[in-house]
Amino acid sequence: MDDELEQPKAVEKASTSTAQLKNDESDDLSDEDEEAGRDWAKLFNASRPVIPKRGEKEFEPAPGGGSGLQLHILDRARNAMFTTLRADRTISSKGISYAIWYPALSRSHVTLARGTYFSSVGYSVAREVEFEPEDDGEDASMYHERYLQKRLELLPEETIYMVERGSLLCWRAPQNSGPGGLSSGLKVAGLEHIPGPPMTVQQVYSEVIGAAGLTVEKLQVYTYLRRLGYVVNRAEPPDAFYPSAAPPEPVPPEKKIVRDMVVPQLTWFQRIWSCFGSWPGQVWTALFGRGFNWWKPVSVSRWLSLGLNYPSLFQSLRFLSSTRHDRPLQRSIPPQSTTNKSPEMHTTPYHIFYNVYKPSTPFKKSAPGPPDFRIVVVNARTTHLPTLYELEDLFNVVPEQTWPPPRQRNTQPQTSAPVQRPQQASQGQVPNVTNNASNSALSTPNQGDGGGQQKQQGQGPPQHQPRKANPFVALKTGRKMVVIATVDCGNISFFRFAQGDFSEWPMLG
Amino acid sequence: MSTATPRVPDSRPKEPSKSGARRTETNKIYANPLPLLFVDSQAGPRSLLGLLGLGSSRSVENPHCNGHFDPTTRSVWVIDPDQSKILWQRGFFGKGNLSRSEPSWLTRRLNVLRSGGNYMTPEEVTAKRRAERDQFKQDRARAIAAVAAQAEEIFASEGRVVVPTLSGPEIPSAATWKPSRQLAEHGTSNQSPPIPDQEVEIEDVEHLQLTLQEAFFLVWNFDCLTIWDSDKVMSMEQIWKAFKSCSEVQLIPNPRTHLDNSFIIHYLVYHHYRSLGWVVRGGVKFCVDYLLYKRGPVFSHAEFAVVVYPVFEDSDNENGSPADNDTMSTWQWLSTINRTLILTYVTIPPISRLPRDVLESPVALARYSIREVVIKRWIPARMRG
Repeated sequence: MDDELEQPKAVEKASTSTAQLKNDESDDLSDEDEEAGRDWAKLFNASRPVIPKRGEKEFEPAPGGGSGLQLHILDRARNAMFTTLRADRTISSKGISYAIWYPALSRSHVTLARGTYFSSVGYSVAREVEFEPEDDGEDASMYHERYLQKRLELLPEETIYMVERGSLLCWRAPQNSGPGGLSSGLKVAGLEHIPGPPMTVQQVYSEVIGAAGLTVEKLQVYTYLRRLGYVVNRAEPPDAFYPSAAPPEPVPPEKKIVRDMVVPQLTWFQRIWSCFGSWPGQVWTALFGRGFNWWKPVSVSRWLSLGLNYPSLFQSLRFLSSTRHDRPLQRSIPPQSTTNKSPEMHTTPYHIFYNVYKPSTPFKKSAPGPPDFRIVVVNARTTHLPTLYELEDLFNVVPEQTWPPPRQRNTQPQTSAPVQRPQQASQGQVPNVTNNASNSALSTPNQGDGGGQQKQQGQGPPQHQPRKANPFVALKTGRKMVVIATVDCGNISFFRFAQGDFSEWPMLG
Repeated sequence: MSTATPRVPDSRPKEPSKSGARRTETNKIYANPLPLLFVDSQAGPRSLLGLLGLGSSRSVENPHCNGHFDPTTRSVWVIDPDQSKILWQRGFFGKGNLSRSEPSWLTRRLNVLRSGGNYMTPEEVTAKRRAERDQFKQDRARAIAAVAAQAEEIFASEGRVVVPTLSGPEIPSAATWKPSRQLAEHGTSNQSPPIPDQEVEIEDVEHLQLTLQEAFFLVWNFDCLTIWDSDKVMSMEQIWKAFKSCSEVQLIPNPRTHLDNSFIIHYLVYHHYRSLGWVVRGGVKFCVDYLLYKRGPVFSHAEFAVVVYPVFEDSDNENGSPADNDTMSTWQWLSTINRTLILTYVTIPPISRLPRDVLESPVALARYSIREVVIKRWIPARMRG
């Protein structure tokens, strides 16, 4: 089936075959009942084959075998599925591209590029090719010379993806041929020297997988994301011509996920108060830093009256070293010299392999911007969870996160109702504060936000709404993020691993 | 593992609806995040000294609770019901040994004897909900079977194919189904006739169990718990030693190398999140170490689930360590995450850099460090926008 589909003549055949198919369908259907509303049998009428949507799961078999109704329905649905699968899948010969796969280069050279896919697939490489005159002169070998020619090439995963979706006919370059020089062939655009038919999908798979670091898992992740509309690039350029992603833009301060951003919105009173909040603890460590009593770390009697509230009590609890992502992780022994681990542990499978751009992100093939996501691909059956060291290594090459875009519901009041309701907003805060049983200013983000709203109302209609500093969003987003795709025998699960930042966002104090 | 919905419904009022009054009352009961209370003393107007922060117009009220160390259950028992109540309501410490969280055995018992009390305990609310859900499923299955039988009959008699549906006007859905009166009565009716209030006199056999981490947190930081070992008060040194040794795995000969002692590792994580204002509760029923609540289980569902991972900075120390368990570190296990999971890595310093007696006092705690990794599912189909 594949062989037929790969060749352009399948397109011509298609019109007749679908017509035939339609006749067959009506024959098949004539003995079935037409009234079943949502049934797959309906699908026969579609001119293009459509993968049927599954129905609801049926229940227990009827006692005593019943009247055969269930069996009848099942048979009908199964036949509809088979008929759909049997239909020829066709493509238009006008939209098809041509390429030659060079096993020695692990790239395929696109000789004829058609369609919009090439705005995000393939890249241009300067290759040394042999020049041959178009029309055979009396002595062609006289004109042979070598020169650099820029041409469009596809990576292995791009080749398979394009062939599989029916957009590309790919020939295999003969084994002995170099990157440019080929001999004798058929008269298709750019393919004069290639003998034989194009590769089948099966052939492409067996030829191409394994080339240029492509594993089945990586291919599956690539095609899955491509089908969803993402632009997927290699994170590590496989050669010098491959356009590497732009370095991440420095995060503008207003987009940085830091708790400090709300501090300027505090009133002067709150600001002074928040200084006092941590003051006793600082004085304490300054005076008695050496003589810290580890049997009695928090001393109630020494508290000053300003510190007698829950926030400062919680602050004084934070005397243990807590999360310090800025401090490098100490490795007393370099990973290479560990003796008790098997040798394959040394080469970590955790490398960022793909850069992923959302469909909405403007993408320029020659100069890709900073990617939206960075993806590591591992085989779930053979790979263990990343160790802390592996995760730290990943986070070290990833830039800090910016704020996630605000949800629709948050932006709604900004446009439709420009007048905020600070009264209600601050009332909403009241139970919070009283529950904490502290009248001191909590320097929590919530409060800062409330303050900001009030200030804005004084100024009139707000021009720039400060971003809601929701601690949960910040905690879940983390400081740095990397996506790990695990492929378990074809099932892909994506997990986002983010560097947590709980110390930055205390719930109290 | 689903980190979804550990929650204890508020037990006070009988009404299941969330009325404003009820929320206000819950807020009042659970107003204090720690057992210590700050009381404003009636010392008149603030003096200049007070403004400078040197006088004390507020004082601290410390509830001195008593607990009994029980090594076999690795817990500290608080027997006195009033003290249990204080520890539960101010910071959600401990768990009733006969209850799901708040000690409510006595209330449940009285409810049974009186056939319905003034309010339902969380356990009773859950039991009622489950019974109703069960009934709903049975009703639905019956309706579906009836529709299927009808379709079979039509096919047998007329040869007409009617595909039996799983939803429709005849089949109840979760939105339309209402518990029948019969069930409601069945839920409350009991064999024994109701007993008047005066005659009920039951001894409360329940106690509050504090985990070693909770107990140490209360003793070490606030001194609001006195721990007894049989009939002697334990000193801080004794507590540290006892808690450590009863969390030890006895297989390893040299206790000095027990840097991955599970009490120390878990206490570090417990203290870390408690000091940040989270309410930290055990998460064993969700296959995690801890659950983090913003204010407490009576207010909202747990926000995060925490798994503790000890990491040796010197991998040679790792040999034979019980912390070196690989059971959790497979992707299959991680694939069951529903919401947000926190991997809290506790890095263990190398033995070579530590003084010999480092584990003899809590000063050891300062040697460890904590790193967090937040894991969530990433669903590409939803991230395209």
